[in-house]
Amino acid sequence: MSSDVILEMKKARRTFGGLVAVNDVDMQIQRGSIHAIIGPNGAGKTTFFNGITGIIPVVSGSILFEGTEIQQTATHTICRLGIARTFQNIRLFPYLSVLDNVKIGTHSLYCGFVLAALLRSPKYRREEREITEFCMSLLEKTGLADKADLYARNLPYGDQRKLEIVRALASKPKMLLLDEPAAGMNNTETAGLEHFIRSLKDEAYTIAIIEHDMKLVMSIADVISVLDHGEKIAEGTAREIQNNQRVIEAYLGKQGAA
Amino acid sequence: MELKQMLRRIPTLLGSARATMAAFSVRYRMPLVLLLLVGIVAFPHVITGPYYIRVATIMGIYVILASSLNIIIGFTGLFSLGHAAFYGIGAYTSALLATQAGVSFWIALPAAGLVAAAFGALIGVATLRLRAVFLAFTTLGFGEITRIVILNWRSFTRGPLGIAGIPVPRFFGTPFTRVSYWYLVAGLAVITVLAVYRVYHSRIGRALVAIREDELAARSMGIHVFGYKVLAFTMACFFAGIAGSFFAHFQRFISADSFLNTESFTIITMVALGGTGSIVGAVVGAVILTLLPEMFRFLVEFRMVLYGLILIMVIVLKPGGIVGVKGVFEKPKSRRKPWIVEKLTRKPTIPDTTQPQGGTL
Repeated sequence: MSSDVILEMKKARRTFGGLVAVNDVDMQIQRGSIHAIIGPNGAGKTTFFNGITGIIPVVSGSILFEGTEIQQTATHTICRLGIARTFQNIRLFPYLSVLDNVKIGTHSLYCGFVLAALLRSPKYRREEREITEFCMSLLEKTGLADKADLYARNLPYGDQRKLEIVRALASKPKMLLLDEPAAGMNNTETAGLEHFIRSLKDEAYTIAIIEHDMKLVMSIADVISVLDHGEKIAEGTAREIQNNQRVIEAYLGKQGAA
Repeated sequence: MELKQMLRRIPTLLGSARATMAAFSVRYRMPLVLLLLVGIVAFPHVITGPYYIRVATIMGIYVILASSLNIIIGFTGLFSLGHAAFYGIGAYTSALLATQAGVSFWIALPAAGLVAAAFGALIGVATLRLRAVFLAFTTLGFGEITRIVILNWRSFTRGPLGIAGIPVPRFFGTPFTRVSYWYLVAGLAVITVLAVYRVYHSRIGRALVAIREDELAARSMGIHVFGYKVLAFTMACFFAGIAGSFFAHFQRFISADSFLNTESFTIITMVALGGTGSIVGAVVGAVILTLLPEMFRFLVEFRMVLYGLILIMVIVLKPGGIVGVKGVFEKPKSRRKPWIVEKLTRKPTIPDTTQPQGGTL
């Protein structure tokens, strides 16, 4: 059982001054599952992701990714270990082409030296060809191939969101962290996204997703964790969460409290 | 009405003209490169005046300097105001090696590059954790420190007297002539531009541009941001050192006056005018800003006013520079601030995540 856990958090805690954004959260994410993290605004969901990726490290507690502790590891090393993420407010490289954005995603897969680039060694040429082919195949799979030469900033919003996921996929991660991928999308776009995430699950990616679109969450998530004020107040399947009294309170307030 | 419509079409026309030019230069890249090489070889035989060859040689030095600074400013988006210092370090290394130790120019040249690169790495490690404007100030400070050290360390650098009598390089026994200086600087410039081009289109170049575009996203994509910044600095300083070494052996006399901070600003203006982040842009900027002051030589001291005027005109009229993709001084197209302003005003931590978002539904 425990060998199936890809990411485990033990008493992870992050404070900002007096504010406890993530309060001793324990969580286990199963390999190959879609694990949704929901909660009201300010519940600490994004901070939770930032803790995993080392952007804002946790102050105490531990995070184990495939059995190794990563709570002290630098962000760029965590990416090398196999965790890739997208951002709540899209963070593409706006003045680079769509293809180059994806190419940067492959950065952690190779280690080229300056000299190889200067002399264009055969190994370097082979690698560059590999990178281009791999990135184009990713773009083709997601239907962005015909826009490969556009600046990322000129893409429509939905495509930008998609491109961010493709860029994350380019690092061949074991686990994907999606921070509100459906934010600002209309129903059609969300349906497309749902289909896309399901196809990723079929390709054996582990996906952790923060999302406010409950319809999407309830339909794709295997496990849902609910955070409120930095604490995990519930965890379970969609059905369990929908009937959980504490979750209803967190979202709608206590019955009869007014 | 007619006029208004015509005016409105100008941007699209300019855009398509640029696209045509870009397509043209891609389609005929090899012939264009060949033409350029033939031009370089033929130049001193067609235009034989010593003045013109001298101006062209100085132009070559600036092409190297602007192209290398473009790695720092244009690709990586760091604001370094101390490029002349590394140019000076290269020049002094080479000059001292040649006059004190009698080292041949052909060894002094790469040595100057390496020493400048070492200083670049050192300064990079010390200052590159700073952001935007603070980095600009510290590099400016380093430029000033270098000048003062050169002026005051008399036993080593001969202080304000400068170093005179730097030997003329020899090529298999024959001393350099005006024409061979030109060929050498043209060769060095071509190598520099080619190296910058190759780095830019490699995994390393992509990492540098990613840092310019979005540091946090770059870090999340597995890019060691600090390491790559130091690498960019080191590479740029290497070429600045090479330029310095050539300058020392070309001028045959150097003093601290050649490497003032104003020199750094000249190089930055070249990069900004030509187009930050564009390889061709840096070359174009260097060519224009070497020729213009020569053409306006009759204005004497007022020539320097030109630099300021040009810089202001670039900011107002064409923030991306002549061929640049994205300018240092780009105008906000939407509500978004220009990236340099964003970078200058961004807080040291990540604002959107560290600030607790108020309200609990």
